[in-house]
Amino acid sequence: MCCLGCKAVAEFIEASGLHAFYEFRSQPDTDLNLTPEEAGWSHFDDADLLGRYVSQQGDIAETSVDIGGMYCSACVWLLDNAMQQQSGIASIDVNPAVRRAVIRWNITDLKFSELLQAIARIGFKPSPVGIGQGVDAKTGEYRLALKRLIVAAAAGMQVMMFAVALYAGDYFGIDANIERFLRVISLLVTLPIVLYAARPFFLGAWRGLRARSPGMDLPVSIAIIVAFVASTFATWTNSGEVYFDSVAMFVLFLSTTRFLEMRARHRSTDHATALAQLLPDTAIRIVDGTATKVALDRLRINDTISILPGDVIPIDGEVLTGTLEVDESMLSGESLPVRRQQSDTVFAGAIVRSGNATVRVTQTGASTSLAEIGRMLERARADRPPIAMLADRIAAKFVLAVLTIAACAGIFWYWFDASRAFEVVLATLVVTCPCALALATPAALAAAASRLARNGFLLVRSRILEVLSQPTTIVFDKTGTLTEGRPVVLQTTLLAGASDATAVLRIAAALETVSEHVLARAFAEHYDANTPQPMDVTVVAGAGVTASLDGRRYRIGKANYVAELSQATLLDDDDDPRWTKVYLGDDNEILARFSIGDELRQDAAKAISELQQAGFTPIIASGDRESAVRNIATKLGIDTWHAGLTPADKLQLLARLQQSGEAVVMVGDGINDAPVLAAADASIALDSGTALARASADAVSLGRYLGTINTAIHIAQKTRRIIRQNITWAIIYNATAIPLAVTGVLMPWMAAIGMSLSSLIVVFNALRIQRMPEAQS
Amino acid sequence: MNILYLLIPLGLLLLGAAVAAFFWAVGSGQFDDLESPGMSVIMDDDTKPKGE
Repeated sequence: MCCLGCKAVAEFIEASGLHAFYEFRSQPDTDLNLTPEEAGWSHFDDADLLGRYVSQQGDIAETSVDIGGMYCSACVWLLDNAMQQQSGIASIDVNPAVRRAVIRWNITDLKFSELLQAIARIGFKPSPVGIGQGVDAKTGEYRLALKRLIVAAAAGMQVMMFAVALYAGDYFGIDANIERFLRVISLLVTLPIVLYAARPFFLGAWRGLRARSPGMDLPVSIAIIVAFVASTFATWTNSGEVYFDSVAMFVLFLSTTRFLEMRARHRSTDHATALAQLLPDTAIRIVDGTATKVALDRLRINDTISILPGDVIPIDGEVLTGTLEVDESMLSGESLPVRRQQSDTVFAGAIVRSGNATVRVTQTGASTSLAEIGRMLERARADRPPIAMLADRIAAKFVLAVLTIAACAGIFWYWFDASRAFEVVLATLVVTCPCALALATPAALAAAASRLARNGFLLVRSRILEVLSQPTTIVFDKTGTLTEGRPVVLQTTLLAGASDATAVLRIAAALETVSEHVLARAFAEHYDANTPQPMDVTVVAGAGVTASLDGRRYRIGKANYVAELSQATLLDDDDDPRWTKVYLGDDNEILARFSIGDELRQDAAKAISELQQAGFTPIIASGDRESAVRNIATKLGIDTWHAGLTPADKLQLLARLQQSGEAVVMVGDGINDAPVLAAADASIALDSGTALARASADAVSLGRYLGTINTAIHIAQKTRRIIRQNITWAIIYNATAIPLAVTGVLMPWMAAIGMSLSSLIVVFNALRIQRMPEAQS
Repeated sequence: MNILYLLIPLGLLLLGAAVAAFFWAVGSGQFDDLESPGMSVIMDDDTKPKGE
């Protein structure tokens, strides 16, 4: 399950007995790791805030709200239906691609805050968008690309139709006037393709020229312009051949691949909101002892705010009073919660596991360390090393070669028979119409992407396939990537008096149900509903829990605290620093010791050893303590590991690895991994991680298994082979066709058939990737 | 064959109209979400479980 919407829908489906739904869904399920929150929104009813977010016409108000936690159609359905049931809602328009809803409602029936609350109650996270921002950039880009595509397709089909008539005319004979007429019409219909649909290519080529690093867009633009100008000239002078169909198809194919890539990119990247949605919208400010809820952007430095258990800390600050146990794992990679007390610093984005505190604000908004990570991410992305895709490299050389050959042939014919020179140059350029070559890579990549999606591996940028197809270095984050990222009872050691590990665990689990401590979650999976409820409970923060079960007094928690109850001396023979230890005792003796740590993902060992066998070098780069990292590295047989790294350290490590000339793949999940994910040659984020990590990566691995990475490598290799075959074929085809064209033997209609056939072969070859058998994992 | 001089421009006019209609549809947001409307057809029947 990907989100709360799905969870609610799943429960509903379950309740109505519609299990068949699951046979039709398109993706394997993932872990759900979201908690609905009941935030207060009343401050949004203030006149000035209301004016910022809501436009009103009489009683009817309209607002745009970004919906956090919405991933799929089920979410849209849920939001739609839940909102329709609210009174006063006039209309709701949800766009899942950009995760935004436009809502019109009657503001006298329903206050703005109540509207937001209603959205939050279903489990989504609404963040109102200021009015006047209009259509967001993404939707704008999408709509424009779609329009260009449809112009290319509609006009392209027409041109193709006229071209068929002209080819047939070449063969069977055609009235000269009709031929002339068809050419002029083709020219007119191609005009919007070149002027409107192909614009992005020209702009890209121009940008490349100015930046002195011409990419694929330059040869593409040259091909389009040369073919179009030459055909126009031929139409004007009523001589030679016209190749408007080639221009049209070329633009159509290329626009289609670009369009698909853009859609994949939009779907998974959402930087701005990914960062902002990590933080709450409100904070509790304390002025002269009275607490008021205020919008986050109203907090000023030196304000005092109150922090409660379960909060996400909204600012960087200094603890004034109280003690907090905070989970900074997403920021630093530290796997266990850390204690923050008076005059300690707390960071925006950390999650409070337990404790209360008042905190003095030291940094807000753009100056928090969280925002700094965001900026680091942007810089890293900009500095990313360019990867020359195999196809780009070959295509660039190929186009250069074609241009040279055409030029040589032109010079030769000019000298030999000047009247035919122009015609031969054109024939050469067109017979090599790079359809097969242009399709070779995109077709294979599209097939690979859909094949991988079936395995729970979503491609965002296809360059990752290029990198994964050859053995290289893979850098893994530890917490949440190699490990599950949550505490688990790894070992139960029975001490004096106890005999049954299961029974002991059951008691421990029952006791821990009353605790909010993060380690208590480790026991949740051992909970048995038949165990009696703990009575007479005392929770001592930072020490443990005392309670009665079946009339017996138990204590669970730290060694000293537990030993106090029975006055027994604890013979601690285990000082292994890797684990956190929790003890269970009753009023007679100490019963058991639980070693708690962050467990490896189920298939981590297998996945890593398979990677090593395939020639890849795994490395661990973690922000966690050395002992914890070393332990994991030893278990997995990874020789190179680095502990205690800050996000900046990780970037440096990456730069060092890249300097040695290797392509580096990064696998991570946390906020602290995001910059490295963006800077690596290719990167994979785990779906259980933060939105920011997902938005920074080239691919997202759904589900709980690392094995999908091995599958991805497998398919990447296959894809590379297919691309090679396709390109080889395209080159062979051209190598035979070019001499014929240069010598003036080839008729245009033969070239057209050959071109279509070679394109078809390329596409069918690419489809073989889809039929690869499922990998066992 | 002279009829072609009339029919082809006529066809192009229709094409122009189709493209214009499409542009309008894109502009009014009809293509922004291509997935959920398809599913909502199935799901709408299920929204009244309290029926009977």
